[in-house]
Amino acid sequence: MSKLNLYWAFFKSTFTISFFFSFILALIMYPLFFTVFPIALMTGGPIISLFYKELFRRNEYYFFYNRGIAKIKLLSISLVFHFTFGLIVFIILRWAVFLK
Amino acid sequence: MGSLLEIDSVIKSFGVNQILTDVFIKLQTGDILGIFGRNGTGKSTLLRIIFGTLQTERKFIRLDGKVLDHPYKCIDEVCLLPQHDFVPKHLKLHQAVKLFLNKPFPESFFDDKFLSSIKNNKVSELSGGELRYFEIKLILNTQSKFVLLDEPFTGISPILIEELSKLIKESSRSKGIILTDHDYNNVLDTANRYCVLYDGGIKYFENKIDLVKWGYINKSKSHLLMPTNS
Repeated sequence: MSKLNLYWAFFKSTFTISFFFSFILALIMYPLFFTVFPIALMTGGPIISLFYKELFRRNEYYFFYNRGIAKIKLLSISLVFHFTFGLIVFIILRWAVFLK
Repeated sequence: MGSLLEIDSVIKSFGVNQILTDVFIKLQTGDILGIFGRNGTGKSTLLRIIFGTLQTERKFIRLDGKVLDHPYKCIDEVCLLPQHDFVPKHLKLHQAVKLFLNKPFPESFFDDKFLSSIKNNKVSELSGGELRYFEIKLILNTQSKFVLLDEPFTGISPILIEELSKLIKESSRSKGIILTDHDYNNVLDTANRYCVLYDGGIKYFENKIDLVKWGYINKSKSHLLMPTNS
């Protein structure tokens, strides 16, 4: 449970940037907003966010290293969380468009 | 029963520069080893190699008879305080403590005149010195058998340094500690064993005036060496 909390904390630290990147990208491609937003959340968003972390918040990985978690595990699980979240958003938006 | 950490045959190069040639360190519970060395001699590099987050050409690390490639992956064996802030900025202090120490709300942790008033603050709201003090206390409160402290005194006011020095000494009852910092008087005061990283190797010494011999401080500045408790 404690490790899951740590993975969740790491995911949360990457999510804000990922969300805003995806939202702005979807706005730019407005007619495709409902398709682009969830796909960007699953792919480009987390990559940009992890890249930002690598450049400016690299030392924060030590918080997790000190609890026995390797970087590769953090990155993989964060990507899985992003993908799952993006997929849920994708299904909800598709469903909303379908009902409309 | 105490623990034993053995570090041997550490070799590390950056390009053609071999900065660590053959390091040997034996550390036991109760030891506070102060490592001195000029800028660029490889102190931080050595700590990261011991911790297991930096690849190297060769190293041998054994903890209580067990050979470890990446000590940090074994929880509560070795912890490292890196040179720069490491606690995620979006966390509140009490959240960081809960996550890091895996304890329910740790009131006792905040039973501290420097932290009690800021426990609900976000990490990003702390001053550099407050954050450093918080991070060091966090690391020392783990169950870890060995702790590596990279420049713990940097940017900290004298009153906090005094408190930290006490904390480190208390923690050494159950841990072995390696300490590096350029605040040499406080390292000399806190540590109970000393060495210098010189020419890629570790040179142990007992008399603080040897810092002059190993080229860490100038002879003209040797009067600045304060009398130590040890």
